[in-house]
Amino acid sequence: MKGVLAGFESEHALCRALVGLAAANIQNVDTYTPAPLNEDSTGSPLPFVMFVAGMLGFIGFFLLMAYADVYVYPLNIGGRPQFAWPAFVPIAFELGVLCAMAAGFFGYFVICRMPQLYDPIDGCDSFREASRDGWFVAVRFNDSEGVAQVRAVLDPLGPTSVEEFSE
Amino acid sequence: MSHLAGAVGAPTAGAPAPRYTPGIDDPVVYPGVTSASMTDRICAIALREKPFLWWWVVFVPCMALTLLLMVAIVYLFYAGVGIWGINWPVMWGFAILSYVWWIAIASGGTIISALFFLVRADWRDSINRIAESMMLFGAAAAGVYPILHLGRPWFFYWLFFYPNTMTLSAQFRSPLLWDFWALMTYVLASVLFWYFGLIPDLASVRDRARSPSKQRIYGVLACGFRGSSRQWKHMRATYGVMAAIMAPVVVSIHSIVGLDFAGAATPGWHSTEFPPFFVCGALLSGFAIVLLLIIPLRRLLNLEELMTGRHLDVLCKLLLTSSLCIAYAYLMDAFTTFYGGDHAERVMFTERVFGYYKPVYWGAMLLNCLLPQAFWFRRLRVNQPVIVLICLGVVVGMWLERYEIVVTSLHRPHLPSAWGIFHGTFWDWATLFGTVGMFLSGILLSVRYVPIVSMHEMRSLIATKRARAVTAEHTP
Repeated sequence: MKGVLAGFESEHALCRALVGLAAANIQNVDTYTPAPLNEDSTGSPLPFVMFVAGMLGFIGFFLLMAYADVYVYPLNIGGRPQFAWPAFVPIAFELGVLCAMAAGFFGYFVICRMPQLYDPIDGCDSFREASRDGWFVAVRFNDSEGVAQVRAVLDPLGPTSVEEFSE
Repeated sequence: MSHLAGAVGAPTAGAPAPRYTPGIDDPVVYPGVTSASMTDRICAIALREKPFLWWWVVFVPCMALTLLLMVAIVYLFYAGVGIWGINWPVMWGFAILSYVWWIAIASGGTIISALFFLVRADWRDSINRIAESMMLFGAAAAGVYPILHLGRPWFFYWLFFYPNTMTLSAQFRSPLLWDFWALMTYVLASVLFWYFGLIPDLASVRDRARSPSKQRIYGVLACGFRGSSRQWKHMRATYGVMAAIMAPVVVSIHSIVGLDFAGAATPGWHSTEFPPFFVCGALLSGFAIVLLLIIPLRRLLNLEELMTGRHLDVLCKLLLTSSLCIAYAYLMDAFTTFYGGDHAERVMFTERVFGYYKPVYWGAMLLNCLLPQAFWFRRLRVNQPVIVLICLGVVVGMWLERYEIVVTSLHRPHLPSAWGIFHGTFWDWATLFGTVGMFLSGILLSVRYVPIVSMHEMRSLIATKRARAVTAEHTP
């Protein structure tokens, strides 16, 4: 596996490069940017995962409390109903929330395959700018002919840096 | 390539930042600030080899207070809660009132960070990290108290549901148990929320670090965040939902704390007003502490271009609003007491206003309701000494309010034969100031090692401002 990493000085320049790569029908393009490239975050399954985890937590802990207070450890306090369901709602809500938060947090690590402490791209000197003010595009390919093709597309667009990396 | 060479891995802050006196018409970020200069400056703070002198001057006394807290806790576990001033009829003393006070401070931080993320307030981006640190260490300080307050702390696990031979389970119908779960959720969720928003900034620090040890530590903490499109996309989606969850959680936790009181038949507590009343109090003390933190930090860390008069102005307005809410709650507290017609309530309330503890009541009135009215004046909303004085007043005033709610209500129960007076002992005060030291130590450590401003959100903000400025230039 080989790759080319090209840096641009602005989001706008990077977007032009992406258009150019798409026009040349080049696959396996990824961007590395200091801030989200576009405001669009649709298509992530994590909000739905969090919703499901939250609902499961809510229902599960609600049932656990009902099971505890009604069946296994009933306690008569002044003749009040055993199945006092409104009183179970706050804890069920809190634990549902905790489940949703944990699902979102750990789900993020799973879906992004993190922690991934090493990536061949880290070898590129300019790459540190990706967390500062550099807008990068990386193209990965298996054959060595890709390098020339990608450079032919990117070089005229005025990148601040072009580097190659390999595994 | 040339412009990269000097910058890569260079934790220098560049030229010293210009000084700005906050003004009412300040922009949310000064136009001279770029993504690169901002990132360099914030990373340089976290990567500084030696801490600032002022840092040590504040940190050492705070650590001494933290040590005092340790001593107080060890002695408490050895001797029992009798070392505190609590006795019949005032069985909830400093532990509960300080717990409520800290939880309120923490909640204010969450509101700034989560609620104002949802409403897309641009002034939030440079102060949300400080607000979140405040939430984290405020929740930690609050979390110390409930265990201490248990007479037999070694039975704390009775709060969990677990199969046992006592034919008893935790009492899920009690607000006190709700509070335990709410606090636990709040602390854990706060940690997750704080760390999640921190990951891209840890990556920025990792990439600026020069020493191998710091590269490793920040590298591990950043978990391999590189800003790829996949990482950003899922982060934005998840962070938005997390913020949408945290906002109601913070309302729920402080409402549940209010229900701890409202659920009891004690005069002065038994009121449906309590949950929203407590949430307003949380906002008030939260805004006050954020202001108290950002005013010195913006100066000491040269962040005046990022935390401008606009921030002070907005926070003071919010503080004024929550002060008005709390004034309304105090008014309703008095109204419902006399409208309700319960004799014990009236006796207790008259005693609260004119009796032994009247300085506490009037102190809370003065500091929480009256003094913040100064923020009606534009000039005072950017006058830093005035803001600091009023915010310190609010912090003390909110503590007095909790004192008034917890102690004055309990000292006049229904039975006159059970009336009594409460005073805090040395160990009460030691625990209180010990948690203050612990909170400040935590804040100072986070200032020292964690990016103090959310850099990735600031980069988006700066880019947006730039784009707008460019558009404005090109439109005739």
